[in-house]
Amino acid sequence: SLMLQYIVWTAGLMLAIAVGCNAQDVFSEELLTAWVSPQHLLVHFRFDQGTTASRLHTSFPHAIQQLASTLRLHAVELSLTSGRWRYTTWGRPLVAVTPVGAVLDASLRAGLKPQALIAHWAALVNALSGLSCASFSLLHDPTSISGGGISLRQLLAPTTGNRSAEGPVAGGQRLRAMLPHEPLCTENLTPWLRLLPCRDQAGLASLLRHRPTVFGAEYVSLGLMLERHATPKGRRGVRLVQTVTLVIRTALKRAQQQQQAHPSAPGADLETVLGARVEHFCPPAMRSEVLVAEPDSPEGLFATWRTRSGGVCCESEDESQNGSCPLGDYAAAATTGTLDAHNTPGPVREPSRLLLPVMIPAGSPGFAVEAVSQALPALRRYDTLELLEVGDRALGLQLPYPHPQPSTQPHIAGVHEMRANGDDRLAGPDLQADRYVTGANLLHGAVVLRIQRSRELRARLEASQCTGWRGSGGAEGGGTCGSSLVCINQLFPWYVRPWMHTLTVLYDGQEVPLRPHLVAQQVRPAVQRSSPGVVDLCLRVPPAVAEVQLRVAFSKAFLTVFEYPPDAHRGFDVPAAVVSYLDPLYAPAVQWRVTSPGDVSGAEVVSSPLLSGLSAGPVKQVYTVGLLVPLAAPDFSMPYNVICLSSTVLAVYFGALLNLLTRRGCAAGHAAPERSKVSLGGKALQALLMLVLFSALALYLDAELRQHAMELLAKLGFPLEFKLK
Amino acid sequence: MSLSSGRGPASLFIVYICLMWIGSGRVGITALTSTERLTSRHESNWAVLVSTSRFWLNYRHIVNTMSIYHVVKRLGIPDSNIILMIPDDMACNARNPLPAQLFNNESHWLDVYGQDVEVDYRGYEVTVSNFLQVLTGRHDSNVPRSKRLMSDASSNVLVYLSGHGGDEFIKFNDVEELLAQDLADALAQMAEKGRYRELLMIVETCEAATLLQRVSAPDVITIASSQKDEQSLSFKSDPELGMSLIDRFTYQTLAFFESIDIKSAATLADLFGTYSYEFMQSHFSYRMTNAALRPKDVKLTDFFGSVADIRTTSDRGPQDIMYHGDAQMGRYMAAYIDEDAPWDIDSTLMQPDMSNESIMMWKIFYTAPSPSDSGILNREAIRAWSGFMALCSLALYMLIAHIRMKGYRTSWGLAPEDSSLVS
Repeated sequence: SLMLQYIVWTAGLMLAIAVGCNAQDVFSEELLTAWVSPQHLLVHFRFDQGTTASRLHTSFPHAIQQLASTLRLHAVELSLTSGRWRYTTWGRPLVAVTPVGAVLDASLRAGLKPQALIAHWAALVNALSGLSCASFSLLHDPTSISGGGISLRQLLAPTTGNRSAEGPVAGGQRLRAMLPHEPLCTENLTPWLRLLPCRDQAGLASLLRHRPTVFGAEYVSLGLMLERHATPKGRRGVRLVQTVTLVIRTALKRAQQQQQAHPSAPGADLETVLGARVEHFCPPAMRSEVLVAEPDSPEGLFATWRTRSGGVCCESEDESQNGSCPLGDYAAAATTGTLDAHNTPGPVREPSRLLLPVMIPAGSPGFAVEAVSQALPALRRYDTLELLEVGDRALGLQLPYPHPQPSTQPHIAGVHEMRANGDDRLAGPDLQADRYVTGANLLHGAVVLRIQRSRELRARLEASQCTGWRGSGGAEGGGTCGSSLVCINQLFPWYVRPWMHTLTVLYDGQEVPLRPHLVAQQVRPAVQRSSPGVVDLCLRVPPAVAEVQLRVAFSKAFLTVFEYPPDAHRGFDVPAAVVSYLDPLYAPAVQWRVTSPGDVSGAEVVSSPLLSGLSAGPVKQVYTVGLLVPLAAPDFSMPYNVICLSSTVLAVYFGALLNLLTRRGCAAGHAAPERSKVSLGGKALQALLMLVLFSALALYLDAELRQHAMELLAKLGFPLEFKLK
Repeated sequence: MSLSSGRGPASLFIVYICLMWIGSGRVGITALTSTERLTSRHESNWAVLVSTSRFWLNYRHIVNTMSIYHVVKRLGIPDSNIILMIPDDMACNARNPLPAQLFNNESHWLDVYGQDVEVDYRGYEVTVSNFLQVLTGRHDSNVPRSKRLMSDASSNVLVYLSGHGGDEFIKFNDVEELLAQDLADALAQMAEKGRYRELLMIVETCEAATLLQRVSAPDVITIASSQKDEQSLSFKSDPELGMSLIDRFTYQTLAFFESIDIKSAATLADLFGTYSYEFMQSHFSYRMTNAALRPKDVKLTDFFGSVADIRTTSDRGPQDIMYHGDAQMGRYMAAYIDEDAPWDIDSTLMQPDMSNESIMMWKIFYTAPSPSDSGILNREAIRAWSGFMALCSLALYMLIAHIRMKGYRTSWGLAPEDSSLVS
């Protein structure tokens, strides 16, 4: 997928040069919206910038260029997220989802010595904290850094071909750090927007101008990806990808009811939902597009298109099974030509083109189109400039209506019902992961990670019969079905110490031995106060297993008083666990084709960074929510310090006095009796001196005591006129 | 042998006492005299705005600091010259029903958080050591420019602190304290390093005046919201948020600044005129370590606005290196900066000469009896004498111990020349 993106990018670069503007900086902006539930709208922004110039940029941010050129890095990925993706309600995410808090993932060039690596990390972390206003300097000490761990993709690398092996990650050193409790707010967005050529004054980014909507969203994620690459001609370049993902709750209910009553009533407007308008076009943008996901299933639209275009029909078995081929329900719609104007009420424009994700079989030269991808929706593409020309300083983009659904939240049963009806996209997640702590002890506890696979996923796994993706890494007994692999990555801070011998694995509630199911493992124990523990496990889970549970006991460390954060009683964050699995629906070669009248196989192929990102890769990652582990915390109240200090002074005083009065003059024990008689006077003098010493010390240190002493002296009638004038 | 091992820690202790003794006296090292500093032109403005309180219930302290941020940003100080330290996320807090907004008033007409805000230190990063590092400029080499106070002897610096405090301290992030002496030392170090031309420090805490009473660095103006044994009270309880929104002193300050703009000629005296005990329920006070200044001479925009007097010089300095390490680029950039008009070249020559003395000025708008001079002197004298007594008694104690040890040594039958060897 990286290669695909890379090709797309290079193509864009070439295009920009071919057009004749000599700019070495390119900028493209895209926006994707989709309904993830009847009330929730997903809005995903993606801004891509690239440059091959080393300085004198027209639009590329210089700070990023400098960062990439000074540090020996391949790629840096940074994400800041608040809220979590609700898998049960919103289903499988269309775009990459990140765990709550901040995640920093850097891959540096291979061959750096450990010391240089730490220096690079420190420089990177500080630079990014300046660039994103996040408190990354807390990642300065390596307590939160973990190595790359096992990547499922790398595990499968020998069979997935050379695509991932060529990736920049291979051979580099990956460092990863998480701050689970990092807030996300306007101060992070401000410097982030500063990296865009038009900030939020023009272009699609101006839709982010109403901050209360952006940060009032139920899921907000800000991403920044920086990558060095080289063009085919060998020119070095830097690429910067910025993303914002929002899931906004909209009060569309009334509008929806209206729509049910009067189908022609205007629906939701994208700019109304976001509370901001796009007034101007951002001039440096090479591409500025809005993609709206169609609520209708792509299969139906594909069938319509095919019927209308009169292409060869009923090639695939799917089509004939559906029975909609010769003259289906869509034929009527197709003949009236409403396919393009579908769901766009109001004045009829010619603004959009419908894109379908079609799968290209691996062997064919690319003309024979098999079917559409089941994992991706059909998209309607709009050009911002065209929309702005029509609209009066606004996009005026009407969103389609979400699928009418029962007003109750779609629970699992509802989802299954929907799936039975043949709709796959609004359905629940394939795989869910949750994690919790057991035990209320201050010293010991256990953590449970539970992974649930949906019935559909299992059915698909069984049907796939391990064709296609076959893993080889570390597999005993020949072929391991790649798609039945589940990899878990969990990072433990050093004060939470898991006992790996207590690790038990349960498949559907039945304890199974770990070894036969283990495909790969990498366990790095934590180092006290310096680095976290990392547990990476890859398990082979038979397709029939619906639920996998992992349990491990841990003990909690005692911290010193200065190691506690200010809010120690809140509990200590354990970063999210990552569960990765292979998506059986993934199609290796997806092309987005425009449904223009004409032959299906000869339709225009559209590509863009966002579109290629949607069909990114076979590995899906699911993050658990954060976890709080309570640790024993002392009483931090103010008197604590005072008591500590004063009792120390008192203890020293009494200790010294006792020592003086009870100990004999000679430690050896054979002192002459006359010596002690002689030293009695000396002892008294010493005791007196010590009293004076400590009281004078106390007076010197404590201002209040001085004041009290002064008042006492004044009461006793001493003249207190040390005028120093 | 036993003698020398016994004396090691004790002598260290003596050294420690001596150091404290020296520390209590005023050892003045002045690199730049106040005249030199003030005759340097005012070329840039910097602001260090700090809130020190964590947790949702301290919403008002964050709003205090954001109010001043709102003021200085409105009056033209850019984000690059503002160091903002916010220990907790209030605007996007899950308990905030109005996300990404902070209000000083229940009418919700002024969002002090704004559309563009850059917080430089936040969360656990707001610590005493980071604050002192920002003031004194003693950072780790990796710290980015946006987190540094890069002021010089021609900068006017505004420092604002808001949080929970007490007698000579202010709490940071609920776990540590900044003490008055540390603050005074940091400011003295700033003065010696030429990190400011004039410095205005405002503290809004309970017993704020005590935190500032040790400041002795030259050309510092301090404003405190309350006196010893006084509280700095909150204001504007919001039923929607369920708590107080702002503190009274800052509310009054913000209200005053909302009425002025960058061209305003308002002075500190005008600002002080708006403070009243009836409204704030506390007595504010100010101090100026430069005796020649009066509140009516200090324009507010000198500190809160960006009214720099910038001139270009013909010789290219090390700044050119900053333009991508390229001297040609520096020339290219310089071509776009206009030369000074002749009439504003040396307005600073008009400034009156200052006397070299920097007399402490105490001026307290205070109806209650202020601490008398003799009281302060007595306390200082007791402190000095008690230190002296401690030192004397310790020396005496050591002397006796030494004599006695000598006695044992002879009683054990050691040769007397051994002791001379040891000593």
